[in-house]
Amino acid sequence: MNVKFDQVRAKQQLLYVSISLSTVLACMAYTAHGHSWVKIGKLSESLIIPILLVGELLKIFLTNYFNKNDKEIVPQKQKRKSSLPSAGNVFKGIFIQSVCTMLYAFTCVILGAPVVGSYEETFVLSIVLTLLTVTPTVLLLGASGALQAVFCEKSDLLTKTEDIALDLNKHHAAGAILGAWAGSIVAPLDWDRDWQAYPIPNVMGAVFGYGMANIYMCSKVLFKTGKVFITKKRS
Amino acid sequence: MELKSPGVVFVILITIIVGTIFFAHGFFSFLPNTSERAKRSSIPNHLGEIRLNTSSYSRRVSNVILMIIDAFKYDFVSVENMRYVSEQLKNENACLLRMKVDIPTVTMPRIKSMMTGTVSNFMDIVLNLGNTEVLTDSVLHQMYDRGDHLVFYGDNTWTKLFPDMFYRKQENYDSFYVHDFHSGDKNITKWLSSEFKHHNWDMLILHYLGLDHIGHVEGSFSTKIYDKLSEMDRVIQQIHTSASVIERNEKLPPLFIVTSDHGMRDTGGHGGSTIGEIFIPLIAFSTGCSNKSYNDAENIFHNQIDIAPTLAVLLGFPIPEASIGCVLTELIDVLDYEDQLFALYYNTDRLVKKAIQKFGMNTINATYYYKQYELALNFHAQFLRSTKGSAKNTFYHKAMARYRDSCQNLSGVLSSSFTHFDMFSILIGVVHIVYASILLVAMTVFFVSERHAKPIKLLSNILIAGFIGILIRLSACEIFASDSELCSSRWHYYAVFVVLALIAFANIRVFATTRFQRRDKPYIYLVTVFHACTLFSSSFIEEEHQTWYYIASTSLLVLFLMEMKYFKLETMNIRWSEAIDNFLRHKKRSSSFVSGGSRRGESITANLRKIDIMLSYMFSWTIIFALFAFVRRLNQTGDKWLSVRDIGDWMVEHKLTLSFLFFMSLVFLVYVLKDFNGLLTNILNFTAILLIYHYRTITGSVLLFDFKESTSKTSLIIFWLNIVEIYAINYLPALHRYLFHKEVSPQSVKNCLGAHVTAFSLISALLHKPHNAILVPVCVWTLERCFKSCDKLFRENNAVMYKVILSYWLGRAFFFLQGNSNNLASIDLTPGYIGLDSYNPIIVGLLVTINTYSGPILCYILLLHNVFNESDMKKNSIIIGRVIYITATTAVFPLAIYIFVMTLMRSHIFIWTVFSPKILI
Repeated sequence: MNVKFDQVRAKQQLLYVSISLSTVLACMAYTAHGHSWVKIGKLSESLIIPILLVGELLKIFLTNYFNKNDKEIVPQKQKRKSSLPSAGNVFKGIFIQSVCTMLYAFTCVILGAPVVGSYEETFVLSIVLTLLTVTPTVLLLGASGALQAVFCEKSDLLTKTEDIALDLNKHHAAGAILGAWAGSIVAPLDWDRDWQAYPIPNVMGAVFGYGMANIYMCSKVLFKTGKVFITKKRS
Repeated sequence: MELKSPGVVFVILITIIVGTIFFAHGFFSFLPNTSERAKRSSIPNHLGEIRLNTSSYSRRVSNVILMIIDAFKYDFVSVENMRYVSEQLKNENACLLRMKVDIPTVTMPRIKSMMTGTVSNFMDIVLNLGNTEVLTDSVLHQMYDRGDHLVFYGDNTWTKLFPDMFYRKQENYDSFYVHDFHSGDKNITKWLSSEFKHHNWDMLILHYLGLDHIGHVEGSFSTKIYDKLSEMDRVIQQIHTSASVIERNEKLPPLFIVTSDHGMRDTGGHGGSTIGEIFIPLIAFSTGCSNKSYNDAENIFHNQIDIAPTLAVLLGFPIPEASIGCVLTELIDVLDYEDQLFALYYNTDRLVKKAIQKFGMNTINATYYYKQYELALNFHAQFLRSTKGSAKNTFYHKAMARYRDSCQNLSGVLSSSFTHFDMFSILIGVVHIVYASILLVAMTVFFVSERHAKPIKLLSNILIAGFIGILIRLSACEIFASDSELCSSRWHYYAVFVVLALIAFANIRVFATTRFQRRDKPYIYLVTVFHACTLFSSSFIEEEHQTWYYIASTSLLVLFLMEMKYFKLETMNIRWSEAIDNFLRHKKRSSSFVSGGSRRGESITANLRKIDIMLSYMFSWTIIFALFAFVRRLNQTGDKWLSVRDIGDWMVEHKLTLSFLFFMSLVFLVYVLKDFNGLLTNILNFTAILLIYHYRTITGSVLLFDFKESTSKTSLIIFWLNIVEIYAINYLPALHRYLFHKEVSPQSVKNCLGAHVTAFSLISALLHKPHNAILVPVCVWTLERCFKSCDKLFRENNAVMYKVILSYWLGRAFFFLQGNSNNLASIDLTPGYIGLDSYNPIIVGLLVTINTYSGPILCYILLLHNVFNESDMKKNSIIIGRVIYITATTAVFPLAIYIFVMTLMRSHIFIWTVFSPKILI
């Protein structure tokens, strides 16, 4: 077997993925509980946004925590930033995320969301999308780092952990956007169900797509691990 | 896909066309109604062993006045709308019945149904524009044969359906001239008093069209509807009063019926199957008419086909031969019990015989309605035998209920049995189309090249094909479908099979001479596949516009993002903070960098230029997105959200805004068209938009200072002259060069294509409703922008593919954006009459087609103009070939799937209302 297997990489990927998956599961459980899905479109009543936010924060803290233990293995090209970001950085990060939310809202309107009638729903949907796509990267790299990651190809200044997380984030973001996009398919059907109302299918589609991307990445890693495991056993 | 000969495409196209013809033949073939007349002798004269007295089957009413108010839906009968009618209903001088009409809900088939008492063919809707004479036996035929005098006033559809049958007639040639709200109706009413003065007619038919016209133009919530209904109410009052004078003079009472041909949907049109369209009122003023069954219950209704047998019974002539309706028992109370039962017996007996003839005795014997019929016969016989009053009464009621039940069931069964599918023909069609689409898809997905092949010997091929064709015919007909029309032994059906064999030959040859190789994976076709899959669902067909809006806006977004990414790669080496800094600082002084020669200056200038370009891209894309978000709210279409208010509705009420928007969109149009033509044409464009605006001003839809409404057509005439000039300017030089120098330069051809774009855009802008005019420039601008991005992003061959697909998608989206849908009712007939005073089928058809399909056509012209190479003529034929290929694939593949779906779902409840109209559109 000439595929180089990176144990640390696999470990970190699995950790990252499992936290994301549990967030997705929490979301799913919340929507399935009672008739909560009806409330998804309301900013103040829905619990989806807090759940996702907590999930993202948890992800970043846990990876950082485990990362500390692996410090000797991870080669660091740059001295790590202090664990607490400055106020300016926080402000920048929030600013970037709000800009992203506005962009998502604009995209929703282009794709046909009602402008006046349901701005709250559009807002919820774009916040969810921001949380699933932009927030992880901003939390990981800080505001300027995230901008760099988007506008320039690959920065040399990334640690290995960050590199791994960024790669996963890309896939997850793609999954979330595709899911939200595909969620609209139920809109024209004449079933008159309450979950057909905008933005429920799109929010759930985003979460679902995010989950699917997670599962995809997870199975990829597991497949690789399994392959290595089997070859080792044979030899 | 570099095929040198167009033969392959030609063969495929022929296959598709032949397949479609076969499919349509099989799917829309209906059993023709016989033209046999019912005879007096067909009235049964005994029930079982009991002899019946047929002489009492005679005239019960002196005259019939049949007043038809076009598009008079059931809800229109109310106290506010029609005071007199409501009063009469309350006083039990009249009764109101709820009638259900069959689809298609358009005038001609409905009149036919009403008079012949049988359901009409679906293809009638296609023939609606070319009315043909009714040959089937009908109420009018029976009365005419008996020597009764028929008088008619109103819509000329009647005189086309029943020529030479009216004793006196006055037609209004306005059935399609929808702007006439009042004069036609006043014309009819004018004749009424003289008709009642010397009344020598047996049946007077009046057909009022004004209501329908108001619905078409202003919708069903217009205030004019209310005025029109009160006008109709006054007419009804006038007729009813005059009719009571007749009653005093004659021995028998007259019958006055007010009904409609079809209803009106909420948006004002008709042709579909919404509740508003299929339920109409029937108001009968007659002394015998009882109000006992008048209630509003949802599920109680009669059928329009019941009118013919009822009239037959009341006027005492044989029920028309083809009729499959039931006598309306509410209207025959004027008869005594014995005659009522006789009428029902006669009616039901006919239907039972028809059913036996159609399904065979064995199937009928076991059915519920046959048992009811036997019971009814039994009670009827007991009624006739018994002499005591009370016993007679119970038997009458029992027999009556059974007859009615049995008759209504039979009528339903018979009318649904009229749809008949010629499966053999359908199968041939489906096989051809599916095969052709698979071949097309294969050609698009794989790389196709031509192998060298021997030249064909045409004559021997035809001979062999003929032989094989006849062989196929004989064997296939023996094995599968002996009842198919294709198997009848007339000679031209043999010819059909020979043609089929020839096509098969050609296809085999195509297959033998092409070689398939793998090419890049064109994932883009997944969208086409997805669209084809949505056709399985009736709601996706009703709301197809949503699919296309979504696909179109997504593809625009993806293009935008791809362009941004492309730009990002281009500007990768720029240090962003520095670049932006430079940009802000040196924006104004950028010219000095160009003149300065330092290396650093040059690179900064280059970067600045790139940023400039990017900003302008972003700006134009943002405008496109904003426009798209705006135009998709212009017209609500589809089915479920059709009644939601849209910008178009709002605009009609706010004339000043509308005028502003209309003017801006025309100016925008001139702006986007400026790149297509030379200076002279552009000036003509400018005058053309002024003329369009002037025309809309004098018709009163937009405002301009103090211009008054008028019917002057000067501006239109100048407009058409303008269009001719635009063509002349662009075509004459090319034509001159071709005629005198025998050369065709690509440049001049491109010019001509540009002239087409210009002229077509201008004509569309004229024909569209004022608020829709903005669609034309938006369409042109968006597509041009997309073409530019395609040129930048893709290699030459792929660019053409993406361009074709994009223009097809956008064309479909703009088709729906305009307010069209997969429903015939949504076709806007008004633009057909711009500049016309009377009905001219060719011009009206042409203008309506241009208006309806302006999106797809415009996109296609733009595509051709864009892909046309200005320098190399040889390249063009290859490119055009590719364009035809890809268009055929994107269009034919969904068609193939759709036809397959229709065959599978041929007994689906929506097949005629939702699925079939789509294939016509």
